Parts: sequence; C-alpha cells; structure tokens
Amino acid sequence: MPQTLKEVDVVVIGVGFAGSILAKELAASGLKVVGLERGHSRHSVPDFQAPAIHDELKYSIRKGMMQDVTREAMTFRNHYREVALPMRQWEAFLPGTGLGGCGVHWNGQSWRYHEEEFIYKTHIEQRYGKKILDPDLRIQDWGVTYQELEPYYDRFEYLLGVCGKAGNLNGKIEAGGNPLEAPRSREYPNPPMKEQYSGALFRKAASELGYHPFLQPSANSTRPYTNPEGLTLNPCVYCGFCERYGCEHFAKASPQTVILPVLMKNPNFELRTESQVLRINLDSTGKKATGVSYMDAHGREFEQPASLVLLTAFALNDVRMLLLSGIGKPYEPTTETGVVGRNYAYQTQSYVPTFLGEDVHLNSYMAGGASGTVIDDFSVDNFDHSSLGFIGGCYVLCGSTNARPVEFHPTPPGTPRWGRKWKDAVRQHYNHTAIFNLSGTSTSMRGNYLDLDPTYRDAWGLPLLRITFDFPDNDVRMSRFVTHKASEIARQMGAKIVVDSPRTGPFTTTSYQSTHNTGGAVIGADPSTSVVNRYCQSWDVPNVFVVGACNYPQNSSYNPTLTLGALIYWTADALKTRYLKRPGPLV
Amino acid sequence: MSDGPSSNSRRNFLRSSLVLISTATLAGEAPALLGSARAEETRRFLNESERRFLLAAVDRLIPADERWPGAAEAGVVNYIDLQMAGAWGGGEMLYRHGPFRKGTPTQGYQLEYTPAELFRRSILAINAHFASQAKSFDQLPSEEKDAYLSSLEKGDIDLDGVPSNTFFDFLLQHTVEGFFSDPIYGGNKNKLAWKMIGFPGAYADYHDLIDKHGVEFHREPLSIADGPGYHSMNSGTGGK
Amino acid sequence: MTKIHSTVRVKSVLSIAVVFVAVIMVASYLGAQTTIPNKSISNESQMAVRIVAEGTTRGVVACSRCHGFDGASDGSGAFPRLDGQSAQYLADQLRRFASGDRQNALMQPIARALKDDEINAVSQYYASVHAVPIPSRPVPAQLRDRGRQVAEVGDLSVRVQACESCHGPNGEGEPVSGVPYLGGQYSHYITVQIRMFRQGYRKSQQMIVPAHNLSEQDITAVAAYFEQASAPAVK
Repeated sequence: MPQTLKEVDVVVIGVGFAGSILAKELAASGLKVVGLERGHSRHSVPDFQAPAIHDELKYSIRKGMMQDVTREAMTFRNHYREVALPMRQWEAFLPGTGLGGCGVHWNGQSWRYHEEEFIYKTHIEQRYGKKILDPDLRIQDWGVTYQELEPYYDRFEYLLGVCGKAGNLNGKIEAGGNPLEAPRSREYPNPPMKEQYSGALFRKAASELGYHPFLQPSANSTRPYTNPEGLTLNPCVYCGFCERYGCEHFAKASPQTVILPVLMKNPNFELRTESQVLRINLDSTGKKATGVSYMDAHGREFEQPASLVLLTAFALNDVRMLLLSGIGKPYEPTTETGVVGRNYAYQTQSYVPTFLGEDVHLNSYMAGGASGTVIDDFSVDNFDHSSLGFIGGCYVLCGSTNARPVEFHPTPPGTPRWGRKWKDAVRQHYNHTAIFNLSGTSTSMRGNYLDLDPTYRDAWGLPLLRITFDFPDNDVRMSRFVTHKASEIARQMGAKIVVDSPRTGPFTTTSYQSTHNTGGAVIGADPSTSVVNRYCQSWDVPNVFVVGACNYPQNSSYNPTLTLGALIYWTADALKTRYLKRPGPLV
Repeated sequence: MSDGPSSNSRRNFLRSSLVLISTATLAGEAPALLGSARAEETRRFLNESERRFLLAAVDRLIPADERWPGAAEAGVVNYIDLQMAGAWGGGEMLYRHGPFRKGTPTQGYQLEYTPAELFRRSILAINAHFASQAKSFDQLPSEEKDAYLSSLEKGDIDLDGVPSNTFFDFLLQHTVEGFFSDPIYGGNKNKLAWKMIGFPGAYADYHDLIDKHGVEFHREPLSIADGPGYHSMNSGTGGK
Repeated sequence: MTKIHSTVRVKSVLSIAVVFVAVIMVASYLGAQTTIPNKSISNESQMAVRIVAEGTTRGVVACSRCHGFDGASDGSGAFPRLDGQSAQYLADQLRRFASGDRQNALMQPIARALKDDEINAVSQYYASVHAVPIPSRPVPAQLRDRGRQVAEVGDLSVRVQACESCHGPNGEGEPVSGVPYLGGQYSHYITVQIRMFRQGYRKSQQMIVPAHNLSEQDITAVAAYFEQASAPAVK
C-alpha cells in the first residue's frame, strides 16, 4: 500500500538544469518544493576530482554517468511498419541520470536560436513557398517569439557565465562575433575561449573563402566569474575530459556550480534522490494533477501530493511520463491524430575528417568541451535555399573537444581496421588530424514520433518509450550540400586528405551522434498540434508544466541547452507572475 | 594574447626545454621494460586455451613492430580477462529482457549473451574448430592467422549462435580499449600506447599551452595510478 | 609584505655547508651538461654559473646569496627552493618580477637587470640542480592528513578543487607548461604565496579563487603536507 506523504506546493520531476532553476525560483517565492531525482547525489568534490575523473573507459566507454539501461531502456525502429526492439546498449545518444542531469556532463556549447526559427513555418512558407517542403515534413511555429525570449536568454547566459563575443548588439554588427546571430541586448558575461591550432587554420581558410568564422560561445569559463546567484566559477584548463565527465575545476557551468548550492540552502526545498517517479496522478476528471507516485531505493512506493507538478526529466523521459500518466492524447502517425509524441526530431550530424601533414602538431587533447572555431553561414536558413530543393542547414565547427585515444584514433579511408597498417596509420595521424563537426537541423516528419512500447518493460513493470525515427530525405539532401561546402574549407586548409562524410540514412542506434533528442511535447499556439501552450503549460492538465527540449517543434542546427534555459526562465516568470496569482489555464 | 613576458622568447624557451624532455621520454621502449609477460598474467576468467587463442589473436590485431610493442605485450589479454570477470562482462549497462528477436542493422545488438558469455561461447566454437585441424590458431603462420581473422570479420561463420562478425567486432573493440585505456584496467602496460601516439594521460592542465600553436609537446604520460589519491565517484557522499 | 624581505639571515655554519655543497653541485651540473652535445647550451651554462656565483655588472645580485648554489637557500622558507623547478616557470616568474606583474621589491630590480638570454640561462641552471634534501619540520599527523585531503580531493564546502589536479601527483608540478612543483617546497613559502595570490600581489587566473576560498588553517595544512611530500626530481 503506497504511503501518502504530507502535501507540498510543488513537485519537480528530475533535478537537472530545468528542475534546479524552477525549484530555486519557486522556493525563493515562498513555496514548499520537493525535487525528485531518480539518480544519485553527486558534487564537484569529491565526485568530479582528477585524476580519477579522467577515466576514459569508465565514463566515455562504459557510460558511467548515463541512465542504467539494465533497468530502463528505450525501444527503437526506423519506421512504424517495423517492430521496435530495445536499444540494449546506449550508443547513438546517451541519456544521463543523477543530480544535475545532463548539465554535469554536457559540452557547454552555448547557442541562441535565430529569430525566424520561432516562426519557422511562417518564415519558410513566406520565403520559399510551401512547395519547398516534402509532403511528410511537419514544421511548426512555437507560439512564442525570439523577442519575448531574449531577456531570458540573457538571464540564463549570465547564470552560466557564457564566454563569447557579441556579433549583433541591438542591431549593430560587432567585429569578432557572429555577424549572423540574432540581436542581443548585451555583451556576453565572459570573453571567448582560447583558439586551438586547428581552429586557427580553419579560421584562415574559411575567411579566404568569404565565410565569417568566430569562436564558439562556451559555458566553460574563461576566467574567475561570480554569477548573479553569488556562485563563482574558475577558468577552464582545457583538460580534454569535458563531455561525458564532471568538471573538477568548478569551471563548467552545471547545476552544481551555478545554482544548486543556493537551492540547497533554502529550507523551502527538499531534495530526494534515488526516487523513481512512476506517474503523475490525476483526479477523477483527468484534468487536474493531484501529485506524483514514486518508488524509493528500497522499493517502497509513495504518493506525494502537490498543487503543481513540474516535469523536467529530460526530453525523452518527459514524453514518456506524460504517456504513462495519461496526460494528453497520444499521437498516431497514420491518422495524424493526437499530440503527445508528435514531432520527434534529432540532430543531423556529419563530419569532415581532415588529415594534415606530420609537421602540423595539433595537440587536440588540449581542449575545452565547447572549444572550436565555427561558421554560421550554412546554419538553418542563413543562406538562400531557393534553388536547392531542401530546407535547413548546419553550423561548421573546427576544433577538438578531446583526443581521448579509445574514442579518437582517426585513420584515412582505405586503412585496414586492424593490423600493422592500422597501427602505423594511427601513430602517423593521431596528432595531425582535425575533424570538422557539422551540426544540422532535424526537420520533423509525420512518421517520426514517440509512444509507449507494447512489449518491453522497465524494472518497475512500466512500458518502455518507443522511438520511431529516420532522417527525412530533406535532411539527407541538406547534409550532402553543407558537408560538401565544409570539405572545400578543409581543402583550403591545405589538408593532405579530406573525407567528405555527409549523414546518410538510415538512422542507426549503433554509433554515437548526439543526445539532442527533441520534440514529443511540443510548444505551440494550437492545441491540436501541440502539447503545451506558450508558457509550457499542459493544455490538458493546467497544473502540470513540461519544460525540456521535448517542447521544440523541430530541431535547429544549434545545441538545445541555451534555448532551453530561456524557456526555463520564461516559464519561471509565467509561474510567478501569472499562474500563482491565478492558477488555471494561462492561455 | 600573452599577459606578461615576451611571447617569442617564451616560445623559444619552451621549444628548447621540450627537446630535452622528449629525448628523455622517447629513449628506447625496449620490450624488456615491460617485464616478464608470464609472471603478470591475471587469471580471473579466461582458461588456458581461451587465453592462448586471445594472445595470438590480439597479437595480429595490433602487432608489435621494431619500435613499439603491440596488444599482446601491452597486456590486452589481461584487460579482457579482468573485464569479462567483472561487472561489464556480467552484463552491466545491458538491457537483458526478452523477447529476443533478430533486428535490423540499425537496431544494434539483440543477442541474449552478456559480453562474458559471448566471448566464452565464441572462443569455445573457434577452439572446437581448430581441434579438428592440424594446427591450433596460435600455431599458424601470421598470414594464415590473418586470413582466419578476416573470415571471422566477414561474418560467414556461425560460432555456436554468435555470428562471427559480432564476435570479431567485440574482440576488436576490446582490444582497442585494452590498448588505449588507463593502465589501471590491466592493459596499456607502462602507458606504452599513450607514448606511441603522444597522449599525456590523466593529468591534464593545458591552459597555458593550448594557444602555443604548433609546439611539439612531449611529456611522460601519467596514469590515474600515478596519483596517490585515487578514489571512486560518490565515495564522499556514500552514493546517496 | 615588508616583513618577509627584512634581512637576509646568513647563518655562518649553514653558509659554509652551502658553499661546500655548491661546489659539488656546480661541478656535477657542468658535468651533466657536457653529456648533451649542444654547444650553445654549454655556453649558456657557463653564463648561468657566473651569474649565480657573482651576479652581473649591471646590478644583478648573485642568485646564490639568497637561493644558494643548490637552490635550497637557507631553509627558512623566506626564499623558495628553486632546485629542479620547472625552467619554464622560473623564467616566467623572472619576467613577471621585471614587469611588475608579480610584486616583489627585492626581485624586481634584479629581474629587470637580467637580459632575456640570462633569464633563460639561470632558469635552466636551477632547473637542473639537485639540492641535498633538508629535513622538513615535524608536522602533526592531523594537520598533514587534512593537507593531504585538500591536496588530493579538495573541499566542497569552500569550492576548492584538489591542488594536485593542476600541480600533479604529490605536487610534482608540470615542467613543460610551467606549473610549479609544490612537493618538497618550503611550507612557509607556500603559505605566504597563497596569501600573495589572495591579495593580488601575484596574479593567476587559476589561483585567485582557491587562494581566496581556503581558510588559514587549510593553507597551513596543505603547505605542511606538500613540504613533506616527495622531493622534487630533476626531469
């Protein structure tokens, strides 16, 4: 018999960036907040300290910080005609777990989206006409604009201490930044990262070809920085163990370094770790949440009543929780009815391995997680697609985030996979190879969606999330075009060997690409095509808010975290200034 | 970019000191330095015939050359032994619930076997095959060893339920891991693989070097074991 | 600030021992240099020895007067151990003394009077010498253990990471990138330098926050721990 606990004002499901910030804002407003985190507690000291943290096998290869797939996996198929099978090991993407969530082991790449992306459907149809869209694509407007979110982008950037150079300050183009970026109201809080050798070579070549290179904005601090919460970051030392690892130097912006200590001090907040939320409970009308049910580490089930439930458990987990809880109508692709699970998208990654001469010592193991020199000329809709026959694009990034040898030992095409020739090639090319990273838009498609698997279950007996996804042909055409352009830059760098490697279908779960899973609980103005309204409030259950990349109607070229940060603060504002004053539907 | 001393003289100085250091580091990686292979074998999982096959196989996957030892000398078989005996071999981070069905290539690994079971089953089948041959795998000349490994790699052989390419990919992946991972795991003996490619290892502060473009950086690699304070995650918080 | 630079205490017995040891040190240093077949380095080493022993005519005080020929100085901790220190770091510090980036009334005129190649030479000299290890003062086990904890693991309550993540195992330093060793360094010197970082007399992006956050007790503890950690070795 589940034990019913004393009621609180707010339950937060998942204590990562979204959960930490929302909990802090509401606890500071005087509400009693309980944060339920399924994973363990962990802190910069001792858990992220070197040299123990610099363990490639433990954290990169054995996925030390990731969700325990023995207990809770996901199933996958490319097309809804097929039978989904479990992803028995994580490879293509790596959902995290534990206090701080993905904010602990992310790279720190910090991008704002473009203005037109928030009105993407309107913009694309206006600029190119509907005919440019393949029949199965499903792009949508967000229902909230860049201008509305701009102050919240700013707030999140200053929380993290993002390091960069403004390229567009209130409409004025500034040297040293990204001339193509959306206008920002003030400069970055910290100066850009140091440029790597590979980045400098890329910068020269890209400039010669008429592009506009700049240093990627980064949440790996470049100097001692005290954020508005009074917490201080140290400068990054470019250790090359950023993504998949915690930071030993308090240099990477993570919930632990930028907000949690403040949250934990507030007596209005209570953290419960090792608490697996099973579902959000609804009353008999199905339109009001009464709280959540969860199981602790000992297998005891609890009911935690609450007036307000915030679902911030990572994009994929958020959608699953809605489905398990019966909140919103599940999406069905052949009839296109329902909304929960609709518009699932990903990231269209491609690469250009660039083999330079043996006299070029790149020292790629010297790297921050967001190191790199980048051009924005081919992202999203920054270039004219009129005669190209596809929409979307990629940013082109050159630099390294690591050269950890189990993961990184590039060899040119034609090299055998093993043997003497392989070994010689590894030794010959290890310190002289740069890999361009192209991060591409992922356009939502009718047949790409999330729902509950009919067969496979987790350790708590609940259905696994089922992912049905393949790259739309539009995105494959886009990748071919932009990757080819990027290869020209590599040749301009004087590379001996350039490997033009666009993304081709089918999408496979067997090799790592990105953990930018988006959509499934989409934000929008129209309840027939979205799950939450413009304040991230569930259309169906107004005292449930969902904040995650699951809100994104389609995925941009850019890493999702900064935009999520803007949505988090935007939602916090809506809760404090609108919802709490008068609970109920805000739209 | 420099915040004080003249960058040019710093760079020159860096180069000259680097020459000294690199001379010291690269001097003779004689196999003798690695110690007696026999004396340091781990024996947690692999039996004698499995070990004999693996030693011969990894020796072909990453062979020794005139300058640099290979996987066999680096202790990769010890690495595999310890991994198979531990949580990973037993199925950590592997969803093991049925039903088990053959999937598409994009759906990845769908067999019932844990890594340890997969290794044991496959090597048993391989050794059974060689029992009927004139020579065992380790007795074959190098070219014939390579030819056999290639046939495994192609996937034409069924190893008692394991497609041979699945086993081969597993073996190759573990060989690369054992070669390049931190020596605390039993392979990469004396950090020789890191020395070979120039990876400095587990102590990594490059704040002052990252923008010294083109400088050759040679440092004796450091393992986690070189640090006296080795501790595992959550040790301070008790895992809560 | 003026306290630590009041007078150079020259204890007569110790100075004789230092000179004796110095002769051996210089001889072995020169001997070691001849195994490296590089003419410019041996010219450099002769220049270095001259400056260390006699100073220069342009106002450089002989280094050995305070630092000794072996780099161990007088053991008081008023002057740092230089033996086996990263040459890159030593040269960098001399340049910072010269520019005023690192504030030190005693070292500034000396550093300013050194020419560029002289800076490199004396840095190489001290990087290459071994000092006879001077026995460290006995340290209470509790203090040493606390120092080890902060050095190897850090302290979450004050947001300080493990010193060794930058300063290396046992505080051995990182000679090529110029991170100084702490292992074997005088505890008194370490203590004062952390205060210098805290107050801004020394500038370092990496040291500002740890210097500011560590308590006085913990500074004493890490300094005590590092003094008796394994002595620096010439790399």
